[in-house]
Amino acid sequence: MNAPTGAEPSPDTLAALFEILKSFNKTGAELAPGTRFSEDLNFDSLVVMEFIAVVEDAFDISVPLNILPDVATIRDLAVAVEKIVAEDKL
Amino acid sequence: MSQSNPSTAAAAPILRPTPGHTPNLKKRLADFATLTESLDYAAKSDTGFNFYNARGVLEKVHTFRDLRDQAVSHALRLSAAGIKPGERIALLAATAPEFLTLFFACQYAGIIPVPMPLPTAFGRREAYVDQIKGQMVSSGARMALGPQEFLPFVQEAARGVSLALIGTLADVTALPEGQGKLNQASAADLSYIQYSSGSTRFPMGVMVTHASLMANCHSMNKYGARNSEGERAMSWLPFFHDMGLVGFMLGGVTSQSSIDYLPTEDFARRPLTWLKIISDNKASMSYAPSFGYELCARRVSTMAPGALDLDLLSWRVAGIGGEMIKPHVLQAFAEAFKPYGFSEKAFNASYGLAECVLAVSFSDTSAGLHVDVIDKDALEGHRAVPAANEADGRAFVVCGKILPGQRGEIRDEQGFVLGQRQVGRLFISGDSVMEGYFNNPEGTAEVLKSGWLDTGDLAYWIGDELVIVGRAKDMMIFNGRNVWPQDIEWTVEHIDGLKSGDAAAILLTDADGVERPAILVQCRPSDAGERARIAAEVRTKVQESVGVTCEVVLVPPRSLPKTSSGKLARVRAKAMFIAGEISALDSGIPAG
Repeated sequence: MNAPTGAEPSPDTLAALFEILKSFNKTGAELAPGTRFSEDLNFDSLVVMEFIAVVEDAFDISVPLNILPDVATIRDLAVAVEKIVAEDKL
Repeated sequence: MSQSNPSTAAAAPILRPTPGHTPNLKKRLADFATLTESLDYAAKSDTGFNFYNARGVLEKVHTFRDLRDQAVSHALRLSAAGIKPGERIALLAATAPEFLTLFFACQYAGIIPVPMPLPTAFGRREAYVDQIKGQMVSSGARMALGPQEFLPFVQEAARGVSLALIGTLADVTALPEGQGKLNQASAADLSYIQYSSGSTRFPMGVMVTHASLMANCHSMNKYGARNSEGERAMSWLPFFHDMGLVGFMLGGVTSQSSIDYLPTEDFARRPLTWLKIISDNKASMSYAPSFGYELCARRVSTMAPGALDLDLLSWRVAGIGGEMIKPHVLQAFAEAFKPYGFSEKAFNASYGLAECVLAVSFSDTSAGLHVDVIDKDALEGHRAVPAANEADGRAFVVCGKILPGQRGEIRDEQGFVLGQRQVGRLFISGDSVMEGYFNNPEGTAEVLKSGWLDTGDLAYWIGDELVIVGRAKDMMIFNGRNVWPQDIEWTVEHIDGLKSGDAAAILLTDADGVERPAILVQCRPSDAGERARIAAEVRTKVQESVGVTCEVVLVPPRSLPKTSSGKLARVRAKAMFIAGEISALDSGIPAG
């Protein structure tokens, strides 16, 4: 389900996420499509939710909790965000 | 989730939350034989549950009356589907009316519900599936039910497990009532099983009977929070934790108190909505672990004073529990929200654990926090001596008196009962102590001896009040999540080049009492590059599978102590490391 790997998100979506992530990037990890939230950015469950709140505001969407386990990288999240934005327009 | 379609929302009638009190119905504080008896009584009231979204807008109302009707009808369906009294059903515990309906349907059918957690982390699908699988297997669940969007995880977890149904509330509603039968439980029967204890790989399900649940809800409401006429509760605590399940949900049903809910994930996204709902509905009781208060204080720190439209005067009991209480965090919260009518006298410290249903001790309401600052050196020697100089001491919050019906003893390593201000292991006996862990006699025998429960926590007495200083057992708690060192060690031991017994996960405490997780890893290679690889991999793997960022400390081979039976002596390893008897090897990468 929801396996976002494989698809390529638009550069705009990625750029918007990189911008948001600047203030969440406590480890100083390089922000790239393949950067992983848990391993590279050390996100714990509280930071995850704070970050999601900012993403929701930026894209004017509601991110369902059930996508989290399948979102490992920034690319995964960008694909998921684009999918939610597209579904909201239907 | 909090998503709502604006067009349908506009067409729906305006929802009103349930009132805080019912005229002409006597408030009873859990003086019932069983949970079903308590819901039968609550169904005579006008009170119930109210579900809010992240913006603080009321979305669903589930009165106790509706809850009872739906629970009874679904109990018949579950029974007709062949689930017998005493059998288990796993329930994904989303903060939603559906969970309540199914939880109480189980009660009316004599079936034992097992609340299971929701995922909360990025990219940890495998770890989450393992966790719920462990709980389903350990409890021998016959069905697994939950919101549609989470069922794929359950289906994955259920591979190799034979279940009669994996589905939603609607799937149960679609079943016929047929020949279904209600089952009148007796007080000694199990009401539910809670897996708040134990690790992912070694799950421990606390068995809670109707009798122990009622006893705990009764003393908690009568002597602890002093719940009286017209009290209103607000909660964002999840139903799969004891504080959320018992402290609010079951505590509310058994005392006919209205509760306003904000889903946990919405709280984490918009913490100030918690306070908005308290303010809007004039709630009097709400609880959080320290980090809940911390999130709010952090959000408000970037705002202009008075920027929020809040009135917190009604908040009489602002409870804290669930992890070590951090006094400085609460102080910051009190200062930030004083302009909005919050009184620091509302802070109420309590202590409890799922093995005692929930609550063990409560401080007096409206008295605020009582902080005891003790001498650090004396503490090492297991004595809690007030510090001569407060700045050099460790501050602990006094957690109040043991509730009536329970007894506490603090004992030393040899089992001798200790007196005032002596630090030892806390044991509890009485009406709330569990019968044991489900299907786990060894696990039960380790903690339950002659009617006394070994809480695994270190504590001391001041008069008849309890002060918790830490854990004698190995469990670590981060941001309200229980983490077991066994899970961290298991992960590390499966890394290439490492083997069983090579890892010891410990908590290190700095001078300010802030805890940080560390893992000692026995490292054989002397090559700097190879050492750096191992250290980096340990860190990544632990982060990935346990969700904890550990400081990795490489130590020489055979330096970690073992018990006589060959098991890792974790507590001794920690003591030896702190004392410098185990020294760190150069890992080639910066620590932390």
